[in-house]
Amino acid sequence: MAAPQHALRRGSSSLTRFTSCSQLSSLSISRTSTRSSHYFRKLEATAEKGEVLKPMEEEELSLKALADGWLEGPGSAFKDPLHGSTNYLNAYSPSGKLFRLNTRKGEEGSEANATSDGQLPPERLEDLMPFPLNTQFRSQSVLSEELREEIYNRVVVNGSSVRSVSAEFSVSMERVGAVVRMKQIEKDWQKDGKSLAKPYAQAVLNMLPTTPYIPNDPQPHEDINDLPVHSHTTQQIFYPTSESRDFTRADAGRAFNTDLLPADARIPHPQLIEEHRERNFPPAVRQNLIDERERREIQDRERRKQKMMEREKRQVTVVPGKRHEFRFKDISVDSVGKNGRSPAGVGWRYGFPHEDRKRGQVKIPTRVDT
Amino acid sequence: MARQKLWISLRKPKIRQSWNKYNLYNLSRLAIPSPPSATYFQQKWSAKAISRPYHGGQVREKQWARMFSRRMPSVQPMDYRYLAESDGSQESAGRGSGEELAQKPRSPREATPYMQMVYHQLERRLDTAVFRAMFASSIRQSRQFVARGLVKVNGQKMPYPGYMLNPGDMFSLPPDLVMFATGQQKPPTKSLQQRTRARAKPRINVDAADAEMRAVVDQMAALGKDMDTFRSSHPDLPPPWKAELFALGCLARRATNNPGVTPQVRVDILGQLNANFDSLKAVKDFSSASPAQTQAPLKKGWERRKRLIVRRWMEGTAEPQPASTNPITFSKPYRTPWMPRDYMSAFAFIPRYLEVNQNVCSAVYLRDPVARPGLGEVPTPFPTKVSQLAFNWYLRRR
Repeated sequence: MAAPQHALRRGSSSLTRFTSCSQLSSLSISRTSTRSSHYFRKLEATAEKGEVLKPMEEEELSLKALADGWLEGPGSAFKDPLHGSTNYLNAYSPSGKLFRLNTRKGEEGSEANATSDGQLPPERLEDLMPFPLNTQFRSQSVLSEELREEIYNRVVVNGSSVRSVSAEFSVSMERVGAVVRMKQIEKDWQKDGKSLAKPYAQAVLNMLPTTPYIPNDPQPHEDINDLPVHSHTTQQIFYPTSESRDFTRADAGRAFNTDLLPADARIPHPQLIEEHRERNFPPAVRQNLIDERERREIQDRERRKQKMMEREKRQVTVVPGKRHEFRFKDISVDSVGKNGRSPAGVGWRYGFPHEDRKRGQVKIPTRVDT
Repeated sequence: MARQKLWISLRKPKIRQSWNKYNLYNLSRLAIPSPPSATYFQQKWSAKAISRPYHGGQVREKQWARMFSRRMPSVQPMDYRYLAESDGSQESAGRGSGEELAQKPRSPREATPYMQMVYHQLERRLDTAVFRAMFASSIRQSRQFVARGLVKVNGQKMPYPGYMLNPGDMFSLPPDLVMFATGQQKPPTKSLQQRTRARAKPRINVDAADAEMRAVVDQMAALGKDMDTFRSSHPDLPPPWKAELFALGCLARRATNNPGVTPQVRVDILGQLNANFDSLKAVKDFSSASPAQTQAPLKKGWERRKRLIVRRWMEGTAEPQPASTNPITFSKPYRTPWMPRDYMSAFAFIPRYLEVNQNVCSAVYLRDPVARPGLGEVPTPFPTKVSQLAFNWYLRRR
């Protein structure tokens, strides 16, 4: 394959200067299309004979023409979305054939089934990879409109807790919150007669894999019990202990760091562990225990809130006046830090220059409160 | 941001955050060669040079190097059933290597692609998140939207593309802007010559026109309304007939609203549309007849417009949508009825760290992207090999 080297360099990727020519030839020849196919046939023929293509012929096909040739040929599959399916690069062969249909061809008579009812076979894992070289990334499903509606109804109309809805539909609690928040905006817009981006929403959801809502058969959307990898656990440690000891997860956590809790306490849905332990109890007892846990959680939250309010109250001295009340709070001058510039500090010292006009001061806000 | 001359090039292909068709072509032929005789430094340099144009190409190198963090956030999904049934002591039983269980051991987990998380900090940027939520067709466009103050974060204007989103932040764009960015473009406007020629013609002022003119306009509007009521009273009309009716209604509205149409043409077209509508109403069985048989052709230019409307209607709606949600509106900055941009579906994905509501064009940044077994959540077109080399480049021990 020494011959077509220089001929191919123009038409192919020169992403790095280390690009080897054997890869280039395999890369370009596979991309045959209407306008460029003639050239490639010629190129293959000359390569077989061991001849070199003349520079004149090399010039006849510009890079633009090659690209347009691909876009007219194999690339034309991406111009319009596939109806009811994703449409990623990795789902197609270099010649522009949908792999899913090809694999069905091998089986007897199933290709006719796949095309007759107009439904494509479901995507394989590889078909969901938008970037052919990165097999570690795939397009994951999003919530369907019906599922979003159902989540909103459960939380707002039925008054279920975010935690229980999250566990039921296997949708993370943050996502449940976000769905409810945005669905509320959607409802408000509808009430005000503001137009929604319906055609856009329909088109986008048609292009993406979605998690459907099937009543009484919830489809899991994502892992809800993700344990964040704590930086203390990323190193291997040698911890001597006696063989007779039951060395549990809690002990292991303490071995990594004295404050590190075991996984049981750090996952977002620890109540599922309790519920699983109680799975063989009579249903009435189980329900009682679940209710009890929920009640306790609410009580805890209230107590914490109460405590915080009390603490704040203690810090403020109120002196009632005739028309106003004066509130005094202890402030430490040291809160501005050693250099007097801490943003957490109170007040600005007289004569202390601001730094905001200095070079390299970033003034982009770091948070926006709701 | 220094503006490069050619953002998406074929000669020196760089993968960009863009739905451009040539970007797709570049992506399709992207190959990462195994260098035969490159030093480690050269390998790292080239990996960085390939990946940086995609990841924060708009961010200066110094800025990104400051932002880079060697900490790779990751999670391990836990099975609550396993946690309930075992306290973990059997994993450490004996001399620490665990009990030998009679049943088959748990299947080994897929490796966690930590190295795919090199650029995870950039995913927090507002401009990147707007692009990832599919509200803009390229990172440049999303950056422009942000910089022009069109994007709101938690309801407040946030004109900084480099604003780092915090978990729970909601960003929203006006729906028209999103539909402009992701929809088909309007056909090019008239040339200057055509425009000046049109201006030279006397403009017709409907208000100043005589009573006869007003009557024609009123009749046009009435005809449009008649067509709407006819359509709503015949919900099971076959699609070609629906398209025909839709096109007649559009033409009636167009002839009414367009000040460039002369009174003579208006009267003409009103007569023709009326005749066509009458012949349509006279059809007994819609499923056996076709519009082409019964409908008389309009004047040349109007016939062409009608065919265009019919074609667009048929293409745009596999299942016919009500005209009210996706109408033909000339005031919109995008082509109506709205249809997705070409080549959009090849780039269409929404990462899990965002939750998007397309109806109100808002999205919530739920959490930072993480690596999990078998999946790196940062969308990158490059394999682990490249990311790892790029990571090593930014460790600043070259």
